Amino acid sequence: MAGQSNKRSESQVIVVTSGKGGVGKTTTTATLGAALALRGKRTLVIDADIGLRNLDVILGLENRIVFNLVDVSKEVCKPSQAIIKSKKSANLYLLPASQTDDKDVVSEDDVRRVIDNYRQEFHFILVDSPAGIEQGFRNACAAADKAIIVTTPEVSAIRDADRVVGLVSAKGLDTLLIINRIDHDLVKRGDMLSVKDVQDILGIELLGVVERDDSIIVAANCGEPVVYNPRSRAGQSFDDIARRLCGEKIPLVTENNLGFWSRLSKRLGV
Amino acid sequence: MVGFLKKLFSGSAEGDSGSKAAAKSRLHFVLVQDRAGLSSDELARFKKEMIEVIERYFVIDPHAFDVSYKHEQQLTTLQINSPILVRRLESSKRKIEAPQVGPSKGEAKTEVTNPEIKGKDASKSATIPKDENIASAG
Repeated sequence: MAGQSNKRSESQVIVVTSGKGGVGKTTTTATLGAALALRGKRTLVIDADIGLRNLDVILGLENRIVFNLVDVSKEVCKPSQAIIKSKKSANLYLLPASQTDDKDVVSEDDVRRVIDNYRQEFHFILVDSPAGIEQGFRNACAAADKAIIVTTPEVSAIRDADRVVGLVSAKGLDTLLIINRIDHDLVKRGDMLSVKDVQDILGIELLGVVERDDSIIVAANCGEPVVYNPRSRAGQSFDDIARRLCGEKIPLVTENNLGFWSRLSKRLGV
Repeated sequence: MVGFLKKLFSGSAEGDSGSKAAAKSRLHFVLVQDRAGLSSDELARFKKEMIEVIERYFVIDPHAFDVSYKHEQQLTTLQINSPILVRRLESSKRKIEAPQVGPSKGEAKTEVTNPEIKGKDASKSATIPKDENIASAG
């Protein structure tokens, strides 16, 4: 397919993984994808959680699914027929997972071949990995050059993330860390590991930090990624992360450098 | 009101009191073990090789050989326990018995008989009763 000049170079393929389930991989994939799209980058998000698809629901595209990743792999349809344009952004597309198969139905080579179909068309391809470290995880990593490891500041999540960092580094992928659901008040009280603690333990480059934020729950309920909500702190964080992925230098906000007025507004509940 | 103001102007030092310290310590412990990453096969090979090396120098009971991790004050050490029965001489591969304490009959015998042997040559009849004495005493 003929590409425009700004799409002639190949996409960056990034797997979003964590080991532990429920720490925010799907939310991160969807929201980061939306943030990149809002910044003008053509982005494809792929749901690699075959059998337990959720990326469609977080993006509010659950009633638009016709074909999926397995169909593309088995050549049941053309690659362009399986991707779904998002409701809110012409730059954002979804390749959903199959809901009726399981993770062994495609191999790593199959996934690589599927992704090859889209490399010329998108600036970014984000692959939402399933939890765990088995075939689904291996498939999700198959075509990636980079990995975003998502963790929360909790013992079990960090332990699993550490294992995944090892596995992913062994595959030769660059690793980037997102710390999700940080609560700066709990950190101050000494009841939550801080950003620095988590960074020191995992020892990989920090891409961004997302605070615990009720607006994410609301966004999931409505199927509209939180980055479309200008008042959401989490939305801001994802936008910062997207900008960093695009090469901009955005300083990280931590408890230590939260400005006086933002601390004040937090305490007053503004 | 004072409490509120205090909170507002409190410094940014993060407390290490509270449950975070426990989390950090426990995480450190599990991560060292996870990262040391010996699978059960590797652990079995490690034990076998360690036992082989130790048996070149000592006699041990291979069934009592034990490997474990000890975690203390943010430091994790590998602990190897191997009860030693006796020291093994490398050249002869023979066990060295622990030396007996005090004079042995053998030693005394040697010291006494030498002069007897000399005396025997000089005068046979004089030395014979002394030999008998020693023989009866030994």
